[in-house]
Amino acid sequence: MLQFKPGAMPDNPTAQSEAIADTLPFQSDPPASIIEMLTEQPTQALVQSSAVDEADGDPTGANSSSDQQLGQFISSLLKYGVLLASGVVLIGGVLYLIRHGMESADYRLFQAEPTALRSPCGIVNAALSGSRLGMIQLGLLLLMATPIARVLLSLMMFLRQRDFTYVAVTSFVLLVLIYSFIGAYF
Amino acid sequence: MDRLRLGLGALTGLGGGVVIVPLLTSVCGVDIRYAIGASLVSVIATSSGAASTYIKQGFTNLRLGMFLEVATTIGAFVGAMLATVVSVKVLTVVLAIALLYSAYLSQQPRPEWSDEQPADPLATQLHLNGACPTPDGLSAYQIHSVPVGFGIMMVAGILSGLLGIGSGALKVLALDQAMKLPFKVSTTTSTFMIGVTAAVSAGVYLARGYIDPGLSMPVMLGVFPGALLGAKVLVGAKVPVLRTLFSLVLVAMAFKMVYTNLSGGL
Repeated sequence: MLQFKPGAMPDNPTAQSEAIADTLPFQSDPPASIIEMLTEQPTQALVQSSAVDEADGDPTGANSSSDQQLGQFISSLLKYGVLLASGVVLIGGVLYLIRHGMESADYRLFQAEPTALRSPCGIVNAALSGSRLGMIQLGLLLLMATPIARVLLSLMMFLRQRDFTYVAVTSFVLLVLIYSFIGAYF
Repeated sequence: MDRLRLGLGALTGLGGGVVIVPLLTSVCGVDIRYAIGASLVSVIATSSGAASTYIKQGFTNLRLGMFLEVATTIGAFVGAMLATVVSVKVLTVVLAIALLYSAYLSQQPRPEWSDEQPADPLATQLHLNGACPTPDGLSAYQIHSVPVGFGIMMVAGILSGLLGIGSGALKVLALDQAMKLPFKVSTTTSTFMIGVTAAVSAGVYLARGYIDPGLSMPVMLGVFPGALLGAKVLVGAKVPVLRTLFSLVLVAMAFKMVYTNLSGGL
């Protein structure tokens, strides 16, 4: 029932790439009209906590501009992370379908993936040695690494702000993330 | 079949990852472990892509998201570890009941702004309160019941790890109903958190060999058209319409899962 039909992919891989890129929600900046519709002063939109911090008599009003900066960094990081990962998956996928598109794949029976496609190091090695499945898997790994990079970036920003509550919060999340990827090998 | 899976991915972008596991298993006959792996991948892609756009629009409460990720990551790790032990059949029925209940809850009327009550002191201490754009300019909001929200988030994380879904519905329930956030802040902050939650589960599943490149590739690439549609709809939609639509999706998901479960698909 579930088979690879190469005919379903367009003949021209670059056309496919452009078509998908055109539909990415974050390919270009959101139309200015939408933002203007939502808020008359778009620059205010990212100031998450300033109003409330001041209302609470909170002395950390300085946080608001760095929070705004953090939001912009995270937004760009997520955008380029997903674009990069999708690009690698797309190239790997097209290469894979060119060679293996006629073969049928059966996903009804579960057999765990080969060890080479299960650990971060194994995947990088597989991709470097020219494995097409390895390349798709590398793209998937880059995709999974995007949220991790986001947490790491937040950690560094909070360290710079000396906001140690959030340094602790993001450090903990980062440790759980890293452990989930490498914990099985210890 | 690739088109079908691209379409499945598009649906994920619209309806959340919870759609993809039942569809892959019952319609395509894929083993649930492969389905969970592919679903997690598409969930990360959708969440990260949409979160990037939402953050720019100023709805996402970053600090609240990061704080609650402590709960969801613990939950996701526990859930992914439990996945081999717990019977998925039992869990699916429980989850379906939870979804029906949250659909019922989200239909309960409540004022859009509830600033008359004081904020949770914990929320003030952690600088969680925020402001979001409205047609009249920036409007501040207060956060309530942080411990309750934290608890629901942990359950959401466990379900996410167990079933390979984003648990967006449960996350929105915690933010919207328990912590009394404006609806658009709830949905966008939930989207922001889903990427990290799903990445924890994905790490565990990758090491176990559940993530198949051949299956994940079309599912992941298919999410983008759907995510684009979903983001456009959310930004343009009126809140009551959004709430009703959300409830309908929850009910549909619940019935679909129970049906799949009883027909032996899982």
